[in-house]
Amino acid sequence: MRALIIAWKDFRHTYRNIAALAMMLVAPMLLATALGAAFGSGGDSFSVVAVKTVVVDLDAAATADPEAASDRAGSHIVATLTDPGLADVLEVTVAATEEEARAAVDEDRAAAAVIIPAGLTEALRQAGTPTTGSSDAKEIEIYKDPTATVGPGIVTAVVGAVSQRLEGARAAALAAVQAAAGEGVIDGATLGGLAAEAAEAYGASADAQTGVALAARAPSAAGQDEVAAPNVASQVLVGMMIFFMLFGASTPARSIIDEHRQGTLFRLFTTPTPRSVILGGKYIAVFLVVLAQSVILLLAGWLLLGARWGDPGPLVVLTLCGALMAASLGLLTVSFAKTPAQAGAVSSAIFVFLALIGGNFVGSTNIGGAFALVRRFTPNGWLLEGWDGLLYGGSWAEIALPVGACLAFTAVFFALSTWFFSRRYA
Amino acid sequence: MRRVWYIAAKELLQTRRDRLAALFSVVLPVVFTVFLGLLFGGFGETGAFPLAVADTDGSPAAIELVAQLQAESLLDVRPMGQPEVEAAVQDQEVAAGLVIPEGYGAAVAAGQPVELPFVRVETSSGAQSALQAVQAAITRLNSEVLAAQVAATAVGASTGTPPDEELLDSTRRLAAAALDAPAAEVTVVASGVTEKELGGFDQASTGSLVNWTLFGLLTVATGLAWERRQGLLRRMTAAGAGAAQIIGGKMLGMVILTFLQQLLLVLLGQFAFGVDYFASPAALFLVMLSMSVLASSLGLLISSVFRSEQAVIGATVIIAQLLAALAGAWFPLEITGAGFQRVAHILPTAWVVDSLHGIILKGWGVLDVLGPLGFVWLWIIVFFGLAVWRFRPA
Repeated sequence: MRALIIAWKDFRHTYRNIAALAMMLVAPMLLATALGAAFGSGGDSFSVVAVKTVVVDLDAAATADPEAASDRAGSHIVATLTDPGLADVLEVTVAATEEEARAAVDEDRAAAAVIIPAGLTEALRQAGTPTTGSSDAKEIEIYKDPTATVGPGIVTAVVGAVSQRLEGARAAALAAVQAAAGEGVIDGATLGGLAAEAAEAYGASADAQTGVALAARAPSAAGQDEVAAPNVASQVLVGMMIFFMLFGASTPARSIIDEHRQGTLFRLFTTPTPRSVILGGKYIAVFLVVLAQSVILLLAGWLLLGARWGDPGPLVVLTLCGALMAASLGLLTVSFAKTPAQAGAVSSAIFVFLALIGGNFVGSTNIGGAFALVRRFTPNGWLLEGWDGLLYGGSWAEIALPVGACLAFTAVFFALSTWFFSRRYA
Repeated sequence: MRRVWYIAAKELLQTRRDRLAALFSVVLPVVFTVFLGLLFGGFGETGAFPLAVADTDGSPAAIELVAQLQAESLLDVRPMGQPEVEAAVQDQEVAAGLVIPEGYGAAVAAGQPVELPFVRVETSSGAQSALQAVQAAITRLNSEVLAAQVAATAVGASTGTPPDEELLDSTRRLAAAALDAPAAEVTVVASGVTEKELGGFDQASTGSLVNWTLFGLLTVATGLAWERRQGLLRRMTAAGAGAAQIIGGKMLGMVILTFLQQLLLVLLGQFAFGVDYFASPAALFLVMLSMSVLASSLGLLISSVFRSEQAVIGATVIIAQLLAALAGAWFPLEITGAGFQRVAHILPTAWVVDSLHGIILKGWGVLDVLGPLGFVWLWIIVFFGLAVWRFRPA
């Protein structure tokens, strides 16, 4: 009972501290909202800005006849790039010269320039053997801003798709001519007509052809038919929540050192209340503070960011596990510090480091290989893994191992902090 | 002026003796740079993107597709069962996964459309790159199949005999050979003096520089709050130091400290990770100086507004994280939406990141960085003005 009274006093003290509240509640919500917005409106979809692109068609420029120019391979590429269907992705302007196109990129007016070489049509129409080798191939150059990667990647993909289609028509023509020659057709005019017919047929079929296609989706949990796709803001919020729960735990934990320096802790020790009960009360306070913090953040995420947290049972277990882990780590980082300032600086450094290698800052972005292993050396990394499982529609099976691992870390942290405090206050 | 220097020298001496300061100024920034550098460079710089592939069909066409994927230099194909693919993607052990469904071979042979599930975490940029590489192989496959069918039909019509399996095999081989020796190739060339593209360490090193310069002011800002609480600032004024001298000394101390911290990160980036900071030393100096003054005026403002060390730590952590994350220090702004990019460029840190990228990749000189830095200095004036207005020694 006395332990609970001490815990309640510290709990109220923490939740009356504006600076602590800003750190515990405002900061994670701000970051989750901002980073969620960074990756799509409302955090539900990934979208990028239309890529400013300049295109110069030296292939069509080689002919003065406008009708003939429209039949050139270069014109097909320009038509695709300027297609209204791609307006959301590409913002294309046509340049008259190669220099003009390059200058647009050099002067930061465009992220990429597409330079279509002169003679591209002739190269594609050449009815030679396909063993020429790619060293003789005409180069369609994508001249790009070196600081941009995604935008020029999209331009390259679009141009590559058109180029592949032109190559397909050429391959159809060559295959038809060579196969017909193999069947005994040797008349040049017949072979020429066959080549044109095959290329044309390819172009017509390519429009309608669906063939093999990719259907992107999120990973599904075992035994699940439907794949859950969490919104980005909720994923970011989980990372930020765990990170700032560590700071949340260190605030009431530091009260032990504050009270030590002010002498009020020793005054408490003179009362009949055993020291273990006093320290137990402090432990409970730290746990309750971060538990309340995580519940508030989860509710705020649900109400303000539209987060869907998944099955209630595993959700409660993960929340409790997170609060225990944060409390134990908060107490440990304070247990060996001598002053509140030292505790603040040391714990900040440890929390930032753990968040860095545990994946709190980067979430699911770009993690893989060795980093998936490295994050498992941190309690927050395990906890994030459990949350990922839940957000992707998993349940008990997906959180069992992460929760077990996280609780193992928690037990060690509690044991160590208790040992440090016992030595200090024995 | 002598008093300003004494106060600054005291800050430097105090920081040199503080082992915790070294943690924020040296150890964590270096670890952060290496970690993020490997993460961003990730699979791209170190080789191929790991792709988990589950072939649940087992037909010759499926085996051929797997072989084509294995031939893609950007992919590191890891065959496994479908449940393992889902788990590997979710645990981020691979960049993405591909499932070849039952009936794939039959559908391809019949010319029927077929969809292959591409399993990925939506926000993963590694998955985006893997998707492009898989898409390239699929497009190549579609072109080959269609070209063979069209050619066989044309030849059949020309010779008056319907295309049989032998003719289809023949045209497929011929189409594949034609596609293997393309008449046109798409090449990507980066502009700028070095023709180098933004690499993992270019992003991580510049991002770390901004992130940790902001964090670096934590020690001095908390120290200032502590000195005020202990009455030391008041004692300084009693000893004859004016508020302007105290502010000047503290600012100078913070500027020197954060500049030295940046210098360390610049040297680390230049010599350990090949980030070409020294492409324009004069422009680099201007950017570093601006960043130092920005961080220092922000630190001064935080310690002027907040009274306790705890509040200063909290405010510094929050503001430093926001300014770094929103400015593109953690990830390139290019991958964010239009609105976010506009908001980010209201912040001074985004312009610092832009200037650093300009120097290392585009050959920017002093004249080029003056524009972005002008915006940074507007913020410095605001921060510094507010800090001076709010500063109270007592």
